[in-house]
Amino acid sequence: MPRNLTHQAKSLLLVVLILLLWWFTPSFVKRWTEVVFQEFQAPAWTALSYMRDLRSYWSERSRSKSELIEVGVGLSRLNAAYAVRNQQVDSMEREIRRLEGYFHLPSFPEYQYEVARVIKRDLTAWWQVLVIRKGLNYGIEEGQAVIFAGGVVGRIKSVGAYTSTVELVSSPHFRAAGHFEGDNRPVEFRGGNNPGLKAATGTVRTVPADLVTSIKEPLRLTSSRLGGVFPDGLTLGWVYNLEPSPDGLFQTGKVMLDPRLQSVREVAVLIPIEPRGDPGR
Amino acid sequence: MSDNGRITLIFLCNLLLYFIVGELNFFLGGLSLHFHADALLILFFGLYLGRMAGLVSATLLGFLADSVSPVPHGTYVIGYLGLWLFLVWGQRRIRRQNPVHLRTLAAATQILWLLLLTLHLRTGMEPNTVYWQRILMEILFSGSLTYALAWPWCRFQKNLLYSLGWNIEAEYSQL
Repeated sequence: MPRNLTHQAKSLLLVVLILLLWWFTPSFVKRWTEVVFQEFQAPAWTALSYMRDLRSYWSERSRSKSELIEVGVGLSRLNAAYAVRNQQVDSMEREIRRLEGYFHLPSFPEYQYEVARVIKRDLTAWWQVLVIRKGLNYGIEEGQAVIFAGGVVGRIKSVGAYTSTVELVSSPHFRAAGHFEGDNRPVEFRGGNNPGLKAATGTVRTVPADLVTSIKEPLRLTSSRLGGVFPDGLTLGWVYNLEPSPDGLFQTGKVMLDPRLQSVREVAVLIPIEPRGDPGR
Repeated sequence: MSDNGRITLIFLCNLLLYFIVGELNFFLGGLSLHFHADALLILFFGLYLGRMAGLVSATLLGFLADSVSPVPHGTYVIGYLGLWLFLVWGQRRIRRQNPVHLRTLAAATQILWLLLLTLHLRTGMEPNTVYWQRILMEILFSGSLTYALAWPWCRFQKNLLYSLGWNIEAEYSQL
């Protein structure tokens, strides 16, 4: 480089050189660098989440015995209630199988629930993603549904060796088919722009004009099998107000998402179970 | 310790900051807030360290941020190089010993980066009032935190280098 160039000019030339180099780099090399850097930092994020778990473990240890006994009693009550509900679910599943066989209907897809801890949370104006502590090592694949106690969390956006990235339902780029509880007509759900310091929201479009909602009687928006990602009937959110769309044929509304979505610590990935081959066929 | 060793230590400090900010954002996520600390990460490399050290560090940090952000690949690498260049340009235009100058440059760099991201990622967004409110909130929040942290963070790194036998401030004042 010429000696009379200033420090800033030399820096500028170097940056331009790097940018040109980046421009001509083949896309597989760029993809490779992305994967390498992602996998490089994954253990650090995982270690941080284990430290968080350890911290909560020690804070839980400081609880008194009487408090723990109280919690144990509560849990045993819950277990008893869930055991009864499990029996009901089993009998309903048997009934569904019987009816499927009787009417020769295709069976519902079945899922294996893979529970995973959240290790990273990036909720910005442009993207809303979570990173969970399970990846290819647990058979997780791109596009699979992710749920939690409050309903739908999102879908798997990318998968690493030991971690996966989840795009949240509140993300502005999230789209899914849904329907309202008790009404099978499909509607379009979109993640929305999320205000800071408030619960996340989404929007619902193509709502049939005859549906009515109010603050006292809100409509529950649930997932639909139509998209092929989510099973039917999982809560997406609640709609308190609907407004007619400009064409007058449909309505649109704001969907209030579960406020726990922003602080969720554990989620379940729905891994579809391949139907067993029928040896008779 | 050699100069390269000291620079590596500074890079590791910034790497630690990168993970600490990620951990902070984990908790801020519950409040729908996000702290963008991009300017803090490359501030010292842009203002104090040499050209090659700064370039390499900014590029590596750009790759790290890029791989975990759902943006078109290369956004953070190119962005961090641009921000590093902006800081290099600012080197001779501010007094680095003056906390206000340094804090203002850091906050300006952070705000500039967020504005560039807003322009770059506008595709597929619905720019309504809520969207602009959120952008404004992120700019104000990250800008203010950067302003508050820039001086202590730089002073810590300068003191670290001083304790390792490199008086970087005196070296620059002789130039």
